[in-house]
Amino acid sequence: MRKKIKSYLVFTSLWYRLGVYLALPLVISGLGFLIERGLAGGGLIIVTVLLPMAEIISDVWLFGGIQTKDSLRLEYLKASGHGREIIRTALEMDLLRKLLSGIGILALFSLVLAVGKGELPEAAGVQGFGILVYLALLSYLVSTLGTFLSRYGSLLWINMVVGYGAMILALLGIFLLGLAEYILIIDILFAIFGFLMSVVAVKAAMKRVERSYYDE
Amino acid sequence: MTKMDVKTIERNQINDIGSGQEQRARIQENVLQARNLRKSFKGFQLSVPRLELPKGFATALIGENGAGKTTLLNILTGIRLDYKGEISYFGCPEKKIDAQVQEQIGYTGPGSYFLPQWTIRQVEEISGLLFANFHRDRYRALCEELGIGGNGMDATKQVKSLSDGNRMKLMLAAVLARDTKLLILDEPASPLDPLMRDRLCDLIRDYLDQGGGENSVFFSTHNISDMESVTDYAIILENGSIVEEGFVEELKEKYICVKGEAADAGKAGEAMFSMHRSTYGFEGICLSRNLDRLAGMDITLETPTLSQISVAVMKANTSLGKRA
Repeated sequence: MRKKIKSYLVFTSLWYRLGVYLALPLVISGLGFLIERGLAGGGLIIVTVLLPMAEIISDVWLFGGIQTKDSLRLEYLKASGHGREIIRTALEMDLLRKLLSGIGILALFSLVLAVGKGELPEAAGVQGFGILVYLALLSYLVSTLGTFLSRYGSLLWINMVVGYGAMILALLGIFLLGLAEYILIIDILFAIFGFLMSVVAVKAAMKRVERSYYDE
Repeated sequence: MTKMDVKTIERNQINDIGSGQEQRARIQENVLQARNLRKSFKGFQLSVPRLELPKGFATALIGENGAGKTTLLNILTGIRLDYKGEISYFGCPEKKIDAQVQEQIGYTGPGSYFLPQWTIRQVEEISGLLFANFHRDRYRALCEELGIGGNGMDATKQVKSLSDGNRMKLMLAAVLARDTKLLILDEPASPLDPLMRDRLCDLIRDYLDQGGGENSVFFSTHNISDMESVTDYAIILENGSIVEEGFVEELKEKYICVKGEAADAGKAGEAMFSMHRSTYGFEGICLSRNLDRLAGMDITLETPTLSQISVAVMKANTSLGKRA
């Protein structure tokens, strides 16, 4: 696992780490709390909606343009028999990081909200946890879909446009909460879609890497 | 003899006299062997019926821009796989490019070799992941010695903030920190200053010496004069084909530098391989076997440099100015 984490981290710069691992959760949570305070609700929805947008935009500094023709002429990686494996691992670890940080941010945000309101987290019940899981999976699915699409371009504005689109999609997904009684089934479906989307995202990027050995 | 006649490739021609023969006698095997290499793209064709790199020597790949040097090196290192032909490594016909073979090859290339955001420390990290035979202590010592990242080596410096020369030094540090049998270096001298080019020659020579005849180097270069001191064998590539090759000593026996009077320039030109005229006389390269055709002329003979030979061969084979 340590090697896998290392493989992922070598693709990240110090600024990326500071921005995505530290500033991004703080800023999004801060905005969520502001909305929660100002509108007496909706903070969790804002966090759910902003997360994929931020992840998609920040991806331009990580694997931006990896699926474009001129991408990744990484001779040093390609000169090693382990290069492909390291790129694949990094792509997978990035998606895992996105999933875990989404779950972590939403869970922490909910916990702080609950504690702030003097409620015990257990009071949310199974349905409450189901909704939290749904929001995390919704955020991840939209984020992965947007990341996959935006990697066909290598310019910041493309990621921004896709990021805003993802925000709208996530907002539409919130309406599924109206079917709260089926939340476990919806969770399972979103988990399956999320997994499939992850497979597609990694495969598309790796296909491009493979083709870079052949294309001019 | 016309230039077209001379264009005929005299591959692996073994001269029967001199130190060239001695060097050839030292060769037990080739570090790399390729047969019928072909790669076509955008109106260009790389076509190498036979390529053999002598083991234990430094081989220079010389050619004008667009001759196919980088394409050839990329194919040999496994970075490009879209070619036809067969390549075998380290004297074993069955040894094809794979992770194990790549582990034994140290490659430096132009362009986006490292990710721009990588720091000197991250290059160390990734090298450790990519290659089992990478030595961190050796890498740090080389970075320090080559002055990468300034005095005291700032390991947090990013690749994108390094000059072209320092980037090349970083590539060299990364490949020399590994235990390899073959170095394939694409234009290593170009971004380096004259002092560092001299150091590069030392590094290559040290690498060959440390290998005890097992290590070999194959590098492309436009800086023929600077790299001549370390070049044992030379391959000249033009328009995707090898037009001349041999041990430097062999080539210096095959070609000769001729200087003569202006009055003889016209007649000498018919026998010369390549020639410059001036008001005072002429100077050029002649095939040694054609020297008798200059009999009776007031000429001076000199041993040519590898650079002179290379330019003459390239001039005879270039497509520049012939396309129109």
